[in-house]
Amino acid sequence: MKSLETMRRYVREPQLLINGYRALGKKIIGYRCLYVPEEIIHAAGMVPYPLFGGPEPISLADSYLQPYICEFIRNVFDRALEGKLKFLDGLVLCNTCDAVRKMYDHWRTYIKTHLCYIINNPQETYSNHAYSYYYIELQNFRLEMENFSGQKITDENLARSISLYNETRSLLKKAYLLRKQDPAALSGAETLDMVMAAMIMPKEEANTLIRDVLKEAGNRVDRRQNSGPRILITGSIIDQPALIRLVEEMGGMVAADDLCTTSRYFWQEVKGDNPMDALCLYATQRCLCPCMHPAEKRLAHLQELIREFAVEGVIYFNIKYCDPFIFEGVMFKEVLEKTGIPVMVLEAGHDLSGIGQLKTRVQAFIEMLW
Amino acid sequence: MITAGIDIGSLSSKAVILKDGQIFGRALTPTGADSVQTAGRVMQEVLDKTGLSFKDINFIVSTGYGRVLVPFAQRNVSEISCHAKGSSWFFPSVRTILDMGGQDCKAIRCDATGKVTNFVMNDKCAAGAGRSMEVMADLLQIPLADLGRESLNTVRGEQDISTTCVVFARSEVIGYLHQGVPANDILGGLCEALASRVYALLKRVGVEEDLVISGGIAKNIGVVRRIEQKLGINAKIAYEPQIVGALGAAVFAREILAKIMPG
Repeated sequence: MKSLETMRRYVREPQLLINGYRALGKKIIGYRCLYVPEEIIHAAGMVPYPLFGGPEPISLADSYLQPYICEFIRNVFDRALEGKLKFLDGLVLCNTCDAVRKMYDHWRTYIKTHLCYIINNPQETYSNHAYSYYYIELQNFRLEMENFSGQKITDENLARSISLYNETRSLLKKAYLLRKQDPAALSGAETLDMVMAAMIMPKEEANTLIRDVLKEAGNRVDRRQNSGPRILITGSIIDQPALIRLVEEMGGMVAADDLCTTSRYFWQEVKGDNPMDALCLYATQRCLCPCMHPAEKRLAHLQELIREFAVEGVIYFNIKYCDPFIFEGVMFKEVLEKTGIPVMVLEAGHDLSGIGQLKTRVQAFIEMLW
Repeated sequence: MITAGIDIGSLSSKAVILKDGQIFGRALTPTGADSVQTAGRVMQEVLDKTGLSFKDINFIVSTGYGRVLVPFAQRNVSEISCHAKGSSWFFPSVRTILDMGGQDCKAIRCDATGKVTNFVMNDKCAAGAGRSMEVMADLLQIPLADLGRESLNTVRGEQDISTTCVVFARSEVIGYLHQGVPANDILGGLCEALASRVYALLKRVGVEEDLVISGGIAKNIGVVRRIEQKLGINAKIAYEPQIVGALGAAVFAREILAKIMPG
């Protein structure tokens, strides 16, 4: 599929996109995690750019951080130390896990981007006071982005950005839903590439390409015949398709996934008349990761995915050592297995080292479901 | 119907030939650096023992760490499924399997047909696996086969071993030796540490009787007794616990063949 090939190329060679942004004179604002409202950055005429890890092994970051610190964050920090993120004009983080929060301090000390900002979003997302607190926090963030870009963010601009990003979300969801069919027109690994590309691309271009993916997928003849067990992968970040591909090579069908790099990015849309209210409301309604409360909401979402996508087994993927997921995995495994859904907790480094043992586990899990 | 199972483990490789539902031959050899070569060698060994040749074998399934490196196998199955299948062949009443191999350790639950229903595997680390026992046997100059028995005859009681990593445990053991701690007490501590680790692993899947212990460490009476004590149940062990995976592979081969053969 040509559209997919183009998107995959951007994931492999993001420099192509970065050059494009540079040519337009845009400031690029790196961010982590998904609770950073991209629309506010975009409405200030800048580019919100989610940070992923790279395939290279960690080297410089090991002089600063112990190996038991989250391997994803160490990888990102390593890339920054290596000078691979010099294209960033600024970095925006938010209040999620300890590793992200503490990276804020390390970044200010050792990387020294022009801007380093942390949004103190509430981790409890359902009460009125959390909402009003978050509203003020976002207003401050909006002012900061205006100052840094030198461009006023009008409500009209913000509303326009929201509607552009919503379009990306709804298109991605449409493509994601293709895997309800068997055989599916898109594989799990292809979906990951598509979403990651859409996350770093200009949204206008991304939307055109996803529309093409949807069109081409409809006529696809090389779709993979698959009668293997339907598997849901949940976890924090998977930013390279190796694990998903491994499951698919072993005969599993990755029917759904719940990751920061897939469905959590686009599952709901930002809705409401007043753009700032809409962004606050979105924070209370969106899919959560285990850094946020309440856990029941996340569990309910997983169970909805399991039902809707006829999932037969769950792979719960922990990047070493992601505390929020390690805690949650213990509980969710027990709860889901009581409902008859087998769960395999899989722990691995960001670079999936020791893939031999991973392979054994994945193969055994699929044999068990077959 | 003659089928074979080949298990290329991290330390040793095994082959089993199954003829008309009976174990017709078995072989066990250390895994060399070249898994392909090892696979050929262990297969040839079992063929020599049984007087059979390659063309007599109807179907071959490989398993173990090197399962994809067996050029003459028609199918590969994970060692987790194979240990459950093999244990179930030896003991049809088995519902929980503890496989303690050279490099890793698995707690497996299965149903009455030997099909896996749940499993957990230890991390990428040789602690609590056969390799750690080999390292210690070498360090303490005690034959591997005597290790378990000696560990049950402590002088002053088990010496606590606080680290789980083989490399660090080795330094800790050297320290105790210099302090004059009897070797048997150190062995007692090592077996106890290993038993505690696998006990936690078993707890994660839950133990339902009967429990079968397979893999090389099943031959270590010091570890087995301590696990049994913690669980309060007796474990069943096959007469040759190291071939359970290869046997499971041979049983899978037979089942696959039965499915694809007409009549």
